Amino acid sequence: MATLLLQQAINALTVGAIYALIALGYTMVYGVLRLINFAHSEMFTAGAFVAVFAASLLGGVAGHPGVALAAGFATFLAIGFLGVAVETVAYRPLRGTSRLAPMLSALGMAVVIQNVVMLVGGRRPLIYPSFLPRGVFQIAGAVVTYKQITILAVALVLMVGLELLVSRTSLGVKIRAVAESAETASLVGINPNLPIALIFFVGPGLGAVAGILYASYYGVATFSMGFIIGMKAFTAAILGGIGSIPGAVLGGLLLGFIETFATAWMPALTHGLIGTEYRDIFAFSVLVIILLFRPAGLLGEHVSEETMVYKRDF
Amino acid sequence: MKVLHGVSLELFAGEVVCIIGPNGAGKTTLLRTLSGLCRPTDGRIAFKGEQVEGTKPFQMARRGLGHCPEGRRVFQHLSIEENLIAGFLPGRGKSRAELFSEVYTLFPVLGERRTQSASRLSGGQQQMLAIGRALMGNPELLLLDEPSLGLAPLIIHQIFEIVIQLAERGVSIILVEQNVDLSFEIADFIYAFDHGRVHCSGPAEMLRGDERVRDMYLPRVA
Repeated sequence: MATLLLQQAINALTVGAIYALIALGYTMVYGVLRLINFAHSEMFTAGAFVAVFAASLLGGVAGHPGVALAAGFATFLAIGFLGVAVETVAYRPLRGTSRLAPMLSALGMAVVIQNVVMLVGGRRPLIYPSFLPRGVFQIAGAVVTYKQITILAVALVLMVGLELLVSRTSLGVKIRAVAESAETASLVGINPNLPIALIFFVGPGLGAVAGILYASYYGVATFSMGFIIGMKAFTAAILGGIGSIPGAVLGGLLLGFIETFATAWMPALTHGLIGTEYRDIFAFSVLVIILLFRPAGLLGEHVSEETMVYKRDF
Repeated sequence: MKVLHGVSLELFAGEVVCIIGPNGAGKTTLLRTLSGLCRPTDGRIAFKGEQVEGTKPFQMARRGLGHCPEGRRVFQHLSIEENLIAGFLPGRGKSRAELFSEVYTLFPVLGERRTQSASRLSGGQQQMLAIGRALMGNPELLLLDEPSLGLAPLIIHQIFEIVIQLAERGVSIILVEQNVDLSFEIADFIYAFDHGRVHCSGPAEMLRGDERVRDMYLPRVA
């Protein structure tokens, strides 16, 4: 029993770390622009596909540590620049108009990116070459794969890096200043476009890495996989309190646990009435419950009309 | 909506100019136009001899214009020190360390509490922080929008002492105030605004006791 719990905890942690990485992109953009960047889920998909392309350019096997690192880094940069390009083309011209306009533009960008991935990468599921090391070992009877350990390590390094960037550097101060008030920030000499561009570089970069990890973990990538994972990561961001960076991490991990444990135990508890195919239902039930009872999320701040996600403009 | 009509002002280096006038007279709009937050529909703004209308607020700040906005607007989620870091502008003649020590000398309380969140400061301390943050850009012109608003007389006195000190160092100041007595105490020149126009203007000593200023605050009979 204890072994089973431990096994599920490890699985949950792995999925949760991936959700958290993606959720960070949603939460950072929301924190600064009050925009739900629906194109973010496609950065995740595009990242998975670009990495395969990068690895083939590097002429190596995806699993080779050097190739994996180089391809991962190149993908981070490429999707980072894609994020900046999307912001410049699709969101910046609409800034300061209604809140609905950039969100619709984001939905449009999602469709465009998804279709480009489909045209280039193909309609059929791609058997994904794993970028992660093979092998397993055991902790107290639970089987842990090196894939899982690597996913956790990569996620941890990126999250710590992001946290240091935001909390310890003067660039981070500027990001937080713009997040609080772009107008006041500009009065004290900060060009709001720079921190915003940085957010649109780092967020998609993290999402792209999450795409590589996810596809490597499950061994398959499809052009449409971003949608459902993106919605879950968005749920994680709401759960933790959208706009909050620690909230996104907490929300991601928590959602990973809820989903894994519910999927594992519900069939037994309901005598098979609710099967494992209800996996996705659990995540979105969490979204509904959170929005009903604690719309600001777990670590979110005061809920005012201003910060409510669903109250204004909808 | 057009708020200001045919307004003409002039300010010389090291001068303290006060803009007084009742609510809705267009005082804040004037400052927002000067720092580029509002675009003038017509007319010209020159700063240090250069045309600047249409210049973005962050560019105005980098040219040497500091703006302490109405309601102070310190960054609540940032510490005191981070608020000052946010306001620091490189390439304006002073290093960050120099500006830090200047601000902490002017406002010792900010230095004592530098790691605390700005949201934990009192109103007066937040005003000090807003001024300190603007000083981190080493401004040649400082716009102050109602720094006395909602503060106790003792604190107002402290803040105005600092404003006088800054003016003595050669920083030009445009001060928007509802508090007429206070304005006359520190201003070299006064502009009285009403309904978006300059109602009357003149050196402070000449305008003191002028009935046009007094009338402005009296209820109007239609």
